[in-house]
Amino acid sequence: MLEKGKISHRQLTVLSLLYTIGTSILIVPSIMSVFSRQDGWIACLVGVVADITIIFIYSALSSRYPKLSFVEYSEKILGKWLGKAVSLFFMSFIFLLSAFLLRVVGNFMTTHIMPNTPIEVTIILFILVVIYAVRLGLETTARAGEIFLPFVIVLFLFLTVFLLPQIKIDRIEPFLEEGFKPVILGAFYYFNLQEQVILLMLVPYSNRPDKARNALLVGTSIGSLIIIVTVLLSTLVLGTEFTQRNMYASYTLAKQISVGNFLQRVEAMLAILWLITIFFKTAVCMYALSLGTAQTLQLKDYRTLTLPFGLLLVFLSLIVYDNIVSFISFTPKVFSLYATIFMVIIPVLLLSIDTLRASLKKEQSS
Amino acid sequence: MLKYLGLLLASAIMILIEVPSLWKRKRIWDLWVFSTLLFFGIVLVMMRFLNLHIPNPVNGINEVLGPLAEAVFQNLKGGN
Repeated sequence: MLEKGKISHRQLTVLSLLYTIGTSILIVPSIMSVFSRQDGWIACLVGVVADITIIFIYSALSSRYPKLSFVEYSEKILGKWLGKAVSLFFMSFIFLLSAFLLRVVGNFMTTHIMPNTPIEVTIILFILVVIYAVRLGLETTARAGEIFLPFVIVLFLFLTVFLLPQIKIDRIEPFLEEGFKPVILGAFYYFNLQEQVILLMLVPYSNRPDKARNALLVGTSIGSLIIIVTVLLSTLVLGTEFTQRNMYASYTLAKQISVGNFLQRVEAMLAILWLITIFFKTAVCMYALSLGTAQTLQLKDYRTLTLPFGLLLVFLSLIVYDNIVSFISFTPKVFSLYATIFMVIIPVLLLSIDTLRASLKKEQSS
Repeated sequence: MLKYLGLLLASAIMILIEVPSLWKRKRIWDLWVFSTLLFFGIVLVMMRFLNLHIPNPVNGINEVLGPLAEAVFQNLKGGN
């Protein structure tokens, strides 16, 4: 057993909540309004339904092997070598995803908060904290999540309440102007930005893996609710066109807060909220990456891998996009299909192969 | 020059943190994996310092999945 720590049911819920909010709170409003225009919130809603459906598939898969992580049972199901190949393929996805997350942090900090600091510095400082969290283990990270969760909720409620006076309902009309197609497109892109499959690496280390489905469902639902509210507020306060033109629409949204010329410029609060959530998302990804690789290669300790992976991630996050244009053309369009391979195709294949084998075995024995 | 020194320092710190304890506990396979990854990291960062061309995985994914992604987008984007 590589990870000796145990996290409680509630800690798993908190981690999946923070993981779901993750990057999405900052980048989803703009993506949704580009592809689904004023119906972005419906697209999110459809995407959340898809997310919850896929969690049922994941939990069906993990309840067959409650003590094992995704990497371990892929080896059990597909046999040693094919299983290891699938695991390493899966790890490459997490690796690339972590590099994207780092780059998003770097991009945001250099364009909006600290424009004179080189992006390398931001990324290296961020990965150092993440590596530290990962080396301390899952238990510590989960407890930190419990401590930070109230901040996230309070900051979010604060932003929401002070934006309410500026809402204009007619900004989300006309309703379903171009039919359902753009909504489905937005929902597809939203669904694939969530990457809930990586949470399967944490499930065996919760103290009640049999109840893990509830934790994932509750965490994902609350997190998605926060994102839906953000998308809705962006459309209602900023309008569709303005949201489309802003890459980080919810940051611009927070700039709109102005209570009687007294309470202004509180956008840093949104940046804090987002840095907390993306920290947990990156930490979970990096944890899953190191632990999964260590399990695949049968190392004794996953901590050995964290430092070299950190170096590689910093390097990859710097070359992964040549510029912001390649980020925009890649992230929703191509990334969604790439993520579908790992979020839908591989888990569904594993589940069906395992069910098939189990039924074959039953027939033989009877 | 400073960046090479930085890289050297960073890898020295990583080696100091990991290698002695692995060596003491005779975990030769772990040591191999660690050194291979670190070697790759150092080589790639050096290549970036020297402005050599490094294949970008994103471009590969774009090549393979790009046409399909474009088809999905064109079919679902709606009128206008």
